[in-house]
Amino acid sequence: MRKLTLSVLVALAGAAFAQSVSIDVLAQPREEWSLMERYIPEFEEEYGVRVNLTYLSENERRSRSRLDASSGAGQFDVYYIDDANIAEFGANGWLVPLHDFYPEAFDVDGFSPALVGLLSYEGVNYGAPFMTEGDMMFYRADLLEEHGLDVPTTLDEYLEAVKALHNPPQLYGTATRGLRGSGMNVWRFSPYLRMFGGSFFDEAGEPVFNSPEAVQAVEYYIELVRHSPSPTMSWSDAMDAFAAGRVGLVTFANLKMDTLFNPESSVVVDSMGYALPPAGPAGQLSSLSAHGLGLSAVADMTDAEREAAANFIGWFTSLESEIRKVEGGQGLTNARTATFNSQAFADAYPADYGEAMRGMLEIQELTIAQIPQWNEIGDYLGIKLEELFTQAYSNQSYDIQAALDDAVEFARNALNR
Amino acid sequence: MSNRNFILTFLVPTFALLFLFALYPLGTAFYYSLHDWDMRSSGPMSFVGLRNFIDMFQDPRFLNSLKISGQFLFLTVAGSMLVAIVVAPLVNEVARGWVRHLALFVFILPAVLPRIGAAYMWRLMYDPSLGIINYLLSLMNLGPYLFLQNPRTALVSIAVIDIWQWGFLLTALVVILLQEVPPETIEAARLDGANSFMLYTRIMYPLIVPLSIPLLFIKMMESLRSFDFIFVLTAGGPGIATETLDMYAYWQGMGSSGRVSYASAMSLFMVAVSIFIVTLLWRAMRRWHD
Repeated sequence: MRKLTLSVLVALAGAAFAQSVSIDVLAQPREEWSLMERYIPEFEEEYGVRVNLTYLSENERRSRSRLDASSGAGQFDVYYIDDANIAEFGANGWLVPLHDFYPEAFDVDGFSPALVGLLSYEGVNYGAPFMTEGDMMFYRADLLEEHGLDVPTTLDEYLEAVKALHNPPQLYGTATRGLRGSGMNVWRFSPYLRMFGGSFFDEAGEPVFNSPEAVQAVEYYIELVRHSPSPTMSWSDAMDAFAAGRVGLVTFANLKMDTLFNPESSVVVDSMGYALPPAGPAGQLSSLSAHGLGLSAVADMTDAEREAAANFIGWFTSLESEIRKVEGGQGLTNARTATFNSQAFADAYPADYGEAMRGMLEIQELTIAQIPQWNEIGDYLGIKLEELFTQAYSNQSYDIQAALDDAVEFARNALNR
Repeated sequence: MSNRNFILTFLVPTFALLFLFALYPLGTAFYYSLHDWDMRSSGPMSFVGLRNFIDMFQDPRFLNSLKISGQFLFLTVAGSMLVAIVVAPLVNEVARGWVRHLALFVFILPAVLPRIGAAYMWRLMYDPSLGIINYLLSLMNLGPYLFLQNPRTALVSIAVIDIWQWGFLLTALVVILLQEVPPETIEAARLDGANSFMLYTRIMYPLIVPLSIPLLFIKMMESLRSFDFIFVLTAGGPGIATETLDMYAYWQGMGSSGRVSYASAMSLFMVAVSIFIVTLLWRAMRRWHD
């Protein structure tokens, strides 16, 4: 009995020792994280590491990671990063280059090259991508047919269909993102800016998003906002409204596609169609985004902690984890090409999904500016856009040109500061 | 325990905590406000003197946030006091026994709710398509109204929630204070032919004013610190229509710009304004007591 007690104690002590390395990971609540959380105990056991996750929503996550890195606090060993803040982190040396730490066992070369490029700054890759998204148009095929409308292929046809279906409060023509933020309304607006021939900056890096093309793009976007349930919707609100059958057409990131095709969370499974986003006067494009994990260069880590953090990043972004996401119903936003070519993907999704996804990949482009000042400039533009949207929605007077001039002036000051 | 030890035992921890959580951060904020710490760059910060304070008064968004803070303070303090002044006599006159107890209990309930919880609840209630308020309005063929999404109504809509929480709490407290007025005073007034309106405006309220000023004082302090509440409801939007001073300081310092020094200058300005208001009230209170 005494021996048994002793061996139990030794085992417990061994387990405690094995778990004595712990890492802190800053994350953002997303469906794929909830799914992967189920497997983290497996990782902890295999590597003898304790993983502490801190979840913060997108805007808070960005500001918290910046505070943590710039102040030298270094609470987090692993940062959740994205294409919008990689430039800031890269320029300040807050992250360790990916090739300096990514464990060989997890295949650093298997990521889609476009995403690797997106999580790089001045040619150095700092993040291991685990998620990408692009735009698709989702529409109510039954309603379009009822109104004798074809599936829109241009922005003009799209707006025409939105107006034709608009019958509030039973049905809204569309639902688009109005909530302010560089990663919110500005992100959603950015492909429209490009499709109308505008851009955020010219070749010399001067802000030019007050051009006539930009004004036109905002005018168009305001029309979409006017036909939405609210002028300050988040993407989640918008997609939920579509899934609830209260919206005619939306153009949104494909990452909610899984939810839309799930009968438990969507009433439009059988009546929904999907296609590439409609083209504007200057062409057709789908915005491109990547989220990933980076190793902090600020946190004061022991060798064991650093290795544990590197292993966590490798494990989380491995092909095995991506296949698990496919099998768990979160397979459309993965970052490795091998995942989309896998048998698991072919088994989980009908062939036309894959086709639509491949079509989207062909027209995907980065639509925001990857500069360290982007968040600040984008957030300010987001406020100006939200002002315009809410004023227009409430039938108050508004001045697009003045709002954009103001945002451009702000951008100039931010760039010169 | 000797008197000296008694004082030390109670004062040292208090002052240590005060130093750690109030004076030290305040001192650090003052230090930062005279420098140019910008989180966007990891370079060393340099001394800039009063530049942040000068910039502040040339920044239209800062001036807007001052205006919004003032409006929010006025709306919520005046609104809550008005509710208390109007509703308390009704309860005091009409409700007796267990009805009064029940009324007071119900009045205190909204204030017991955590501010953030209340904010989430109201955000849903105000929702143009899912909210109960717009649903009820739709039964009368009205709406949907965008309470929080319309730049003209957003601030008032937030103030209504604050008044709902605080107005009824203050009502309950005023009812309790009114109970403290000696019955013989009321009786004498009644005998002299005073009606209820006169009784309250001439006798009851003047008697409880000195006791009510601390309530006003607490409400004002609370209204100046509504960051969490507004953050959940609108985060300062639409645009900057509900962006109070602390909200703007947050966006500048933490939220998006990373200008810690500039945000520190704004926060210090807010502390100075708060101290000024508190001093004015303190003096007013002493005058009443004298």
